[in-house]
Amino acid sequence: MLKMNQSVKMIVTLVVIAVVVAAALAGVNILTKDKIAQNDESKLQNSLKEVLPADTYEVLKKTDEFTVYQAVKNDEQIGYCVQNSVSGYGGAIQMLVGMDKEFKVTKITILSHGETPGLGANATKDNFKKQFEGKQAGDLRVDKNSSGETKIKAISGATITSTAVTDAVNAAKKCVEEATK
Amino acid sequence: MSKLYNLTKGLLKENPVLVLLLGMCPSLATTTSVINGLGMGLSAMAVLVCSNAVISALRKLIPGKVRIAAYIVIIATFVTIVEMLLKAFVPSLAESLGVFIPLIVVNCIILARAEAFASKNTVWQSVLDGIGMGLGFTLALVIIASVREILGAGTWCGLSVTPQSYQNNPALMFILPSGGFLTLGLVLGAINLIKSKGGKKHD
Repeated sequence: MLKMNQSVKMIVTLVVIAVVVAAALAGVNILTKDKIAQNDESKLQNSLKEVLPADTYEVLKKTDEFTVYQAVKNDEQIGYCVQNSVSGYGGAIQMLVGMDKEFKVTKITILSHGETPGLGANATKDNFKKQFEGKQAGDLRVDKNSSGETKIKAISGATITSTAVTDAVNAAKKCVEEATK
Repeated sequence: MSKLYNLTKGLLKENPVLVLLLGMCPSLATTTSVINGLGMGLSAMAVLVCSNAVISALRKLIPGKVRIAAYIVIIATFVTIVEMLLKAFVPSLAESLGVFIPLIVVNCIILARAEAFASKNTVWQSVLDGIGMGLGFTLALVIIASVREILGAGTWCGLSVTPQSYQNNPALMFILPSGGFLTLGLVLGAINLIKSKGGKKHD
C-alpha cells in the first residue's frame, strides 16, 4: 500500500510539473513567435538589400538546398539573389550571392558558418569577400597566391573555407539557371 | 556568516568555475570573445536564479526519487524561455551564442546548485545563491575571455587594444580549443597562487 502511494505521488508530481511547464512554454511562444518571425524576415531583407539593392525580391524557386530571388528595381528585373549552402571546414556555410542578369557578382555575404575563428572565419571579412565583386560566377577558381579575373586568392591557412565559398558562388549561377529554365 | 554570504560566496570564495570547477564546457566554448562570455554568463545567471527559486519553492513537494527528472524539466523550461526572449528581443546575441544557449540546460552549475542548495534552502537564500553563482560564473568567463581575446585577436569586446601589426598576426592559438584549455589552466593556477599567498599573510 505504501509503495502505491509513493508511486502515485511521483507520477502526479511529474505530470503536474509537465503540464505547468508546457503551459508556460506555450504562453511565451505565443508572446514571442511573431517578433521572432519578424526578426528573421527583416534579417533576410537586410541581407538581400546588402548583396543587391532593389525594391522587391520575388522568390523564383525554393528548394531544400537553395532559394533563388529575383530582384526588381523601378519595375525592372535587375538580377538575382541566391541563398545556398555549401560544406565548409566546420560544417555548412550559408551563403547569399547577389548577381546581375549576366551572372556578374554584385556582392556576397555569409549568413552563417562554423569555420575556425581567426582562420576560416575570416572569410566574413571584407577583404576576402570583395574579391568576388565584379567577377563572373561559374568558373571562379581558388589560387593560393594571387587573385585575378577568374581567380580568388585563398585566405592563408584556410584553403578549404576559401574553396567552399568560391564553390557556393559558382553554384549560385547553376541555381539561377535551374530556376529560370 | 553575514546575511549576504550566500550572495557573495559565488563571486570568489566558491566561484563555480574557478573553485568548484563546474561549467567547464561553456568556459572553454564561449570565451573566444568577451561579448560572448558576458552574454553567456548573464543568460545562465537568469536561468540559474529562476530555476533555483522555483526548485526551492517546490522543494517539499517533489519526491526525492524523481527530483533529478523534475529539476531538468524545470531548468530546460527556463532555458527555452530565455532562448525565445533572446531571439525576439536581442537577436544579435542569440545568433552569436547560437547552439550554446540550449546547452545551458546541461550546464553543471545549474543542476549542481539545484541539488546542493536550492533543494535544501529557502527561496530567498536560493535566489541570492543563484545571483552570486551567476555573477561568479560571468566573472570567470570574462576573465578567461579577456585573456583569450586580447592575445588571440588583439581586441577586447571588439575594440582594438593592441597595435594593428599585432592584430594582423595574433597568437591565434588562444582562440582555438588548445588555447582555451591553456588559458583556463593558467587562470586556475594563478587563482590558487593568490589564494595560497593570501592564506600565509593572515597567519
